[in-house]
Amino acid sequence: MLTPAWCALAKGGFTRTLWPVLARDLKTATRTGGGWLQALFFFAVFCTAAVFAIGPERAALSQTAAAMIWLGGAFAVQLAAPGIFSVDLEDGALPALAAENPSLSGYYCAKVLLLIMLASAPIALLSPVFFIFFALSPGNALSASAAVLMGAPTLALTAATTAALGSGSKGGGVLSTALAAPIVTPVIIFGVAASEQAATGVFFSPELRILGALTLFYAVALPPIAISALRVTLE
Amino acid sequence: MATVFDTFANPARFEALSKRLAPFCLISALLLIVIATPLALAFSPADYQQGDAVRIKYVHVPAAWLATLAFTFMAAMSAIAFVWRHPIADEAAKSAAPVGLAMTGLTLFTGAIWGKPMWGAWWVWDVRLTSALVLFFIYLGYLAVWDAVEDRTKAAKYARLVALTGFINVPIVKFSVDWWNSLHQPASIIRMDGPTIHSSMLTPLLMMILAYSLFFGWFVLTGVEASILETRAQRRVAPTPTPSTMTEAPRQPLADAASDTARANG
Repeated sequence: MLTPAWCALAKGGFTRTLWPVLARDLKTATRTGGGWLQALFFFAVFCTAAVFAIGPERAALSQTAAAMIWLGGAFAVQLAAPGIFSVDLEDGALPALAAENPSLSGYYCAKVLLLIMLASAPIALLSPVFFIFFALSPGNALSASAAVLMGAPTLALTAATTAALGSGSKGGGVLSTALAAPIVTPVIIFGVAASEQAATGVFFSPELRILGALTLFYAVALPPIAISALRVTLE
Repeated sequence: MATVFDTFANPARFEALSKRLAPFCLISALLLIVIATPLALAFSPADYQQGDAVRIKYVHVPAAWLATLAFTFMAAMSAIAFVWRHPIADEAAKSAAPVGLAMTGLTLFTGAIWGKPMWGAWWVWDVRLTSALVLFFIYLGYLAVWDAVEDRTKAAKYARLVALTGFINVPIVKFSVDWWNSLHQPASIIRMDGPTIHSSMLTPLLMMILAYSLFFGWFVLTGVEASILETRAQRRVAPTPTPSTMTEAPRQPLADAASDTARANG
């Protein structure tokens, strides 16, 4: 059913699922030998490899900085996502939760927040370092990273949605990456453009505004799709 | 609205309609192509700038039209299936996907061989071209969902959501030439101030577009017919459902839906 996920905000069930799930997941993430660092680590490796691939020329590096950092960030979040649902599906936590509270909006929001806290926000916070690796001045690096931080919720939302769509099949990881194409491409287009603008000193560029609009649009449009997909998986 | 969908959600009634409509679509599509091809290749004038290379448009434009039409159709059918749970709508969306994929491929291919003499490059990373390439990947993803999920009922439900999500890209493909500076030319047929191409070119082009659309109709109708027959054949193989198939329903019970809708209508 296409229940507007945010409608459940008004009801008590939302927070009663959201906080316990989030607290439990944060606890497991921090207690499993630094597993929460995986996305960040992937991002760091991707960017370092990109620097090697492009070569040491400063002009070439600064030109590709925004593109490489957005790509690395998007891939890192996307790769971190499939696990968030498969864990709960395998051990039966998700069916049990759904039996208790059929509106999965609290659960889904907990997972999106988890992805933001463990993957996309740390990546955005680390990205100034990599913008400096890519030969940007510290000031420009900071404002280019601010655009990444603004796109961080969108990256988590899209990754969680495609993970939910792929949650029913064995090869879900590959499938959800394929399904990510239509919704991640606009984020990359405007994210890279916004970071490039920010790096040249224009922070409140039209691209940054479109990125903000896209974040808001996805926050409304994607949760119902993801939750419907999770329901299909649970059937 | 809903009653029209309900009528043709009945497989028997759909088959009866399709048996008449499908041959009409195929024959008129072939006739139109036979008439329009000489008009397009010989009797229409060459472009004053592009010369004879402009004739690629008689394949490129109808293919691109069908590439977006097929996805719009799939999204609409998915929405119908989502709201009214008509299995025929799922089958229609599924049958449209291969045509859409092939036509998107044809659009990219003809665009490349048109782009080489005109722009001097097979491919440019332009918004129109890139969004068309993304559309190609979405078609692949949609078909991959049908393949990856074993349970056909579940696969249909995921596929609906994929088609609805992927539809975000269709307006981007359509309006990319207006929203961004693009190397690709803007629309010249459907415009607020009327078409900007001469009727000697427009007539064969419109005939081609109609022919492609009719071909699409034929393909979807026969595709749905085939899936109805397939379901029926499977039921014949397993006439007495075992308890496990009763609870899990691994195959879409089209015939069940038929009796349901018949009951609902009668």
